[in-house]
Amino acid sequence: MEVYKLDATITRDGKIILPGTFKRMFNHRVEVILKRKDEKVPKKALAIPSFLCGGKLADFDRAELYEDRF
Amino acid sequence: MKTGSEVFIDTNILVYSTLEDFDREKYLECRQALNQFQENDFSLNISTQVLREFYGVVTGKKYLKTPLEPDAAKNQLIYFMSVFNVIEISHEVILKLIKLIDKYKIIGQKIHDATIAATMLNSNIDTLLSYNRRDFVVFDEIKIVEPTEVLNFIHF
Repeated sequence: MEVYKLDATITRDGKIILPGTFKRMFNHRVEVILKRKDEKVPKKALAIPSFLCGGKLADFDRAELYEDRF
Repeated sequence: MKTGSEVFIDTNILVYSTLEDFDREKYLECRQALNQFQENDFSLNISTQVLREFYGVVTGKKYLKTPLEPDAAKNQLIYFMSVFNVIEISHEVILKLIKLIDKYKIIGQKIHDATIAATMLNSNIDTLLSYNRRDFVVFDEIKIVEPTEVLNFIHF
């Protein structure tokens, strides 16, 4: 998911006016986090799913991953 | 103290942080390092290349005794795409890569590390979280931070 940080204005009737350059993103769903500019909202800790693989057979390096292609 | 900066996450970090028994020590180090960056408001970036490489490692028989099932690996890709900013290998990245090829005389399979470097530099990211210091130390523009060094990196 692309993340954009931008300045926007909330109107009296509750609409959020985005800068014109974002018009091309119409119909995109967005998550709005409201905070004061100087306020820090702590991010949630990552909860990366983990898996068992029975152990390591070999170390890997990037170059090896591509060797089989040719 | 650095906060709110950008960091690029290398493939090995995603692999170690996913596989609990691939290397237990690195599994714990990687998960802690990612959360240290997260708690300090760093933007965590990966690329489409990193996602492909992750899938290649965790579903292949070369490195793991019991590779992940495609569905599990696929779901993990989706999870990573939901929590990290994913940078595409665009035309602009390739133009940056061509500059790096000239500057560092890149040949052979080194092109894949250089693509990571080009992806980062094209997005103005200069910090790489990786265990792969040896392969990136050549790039003057990039700082390599290993998982055990994250706290020190953030605070100094």
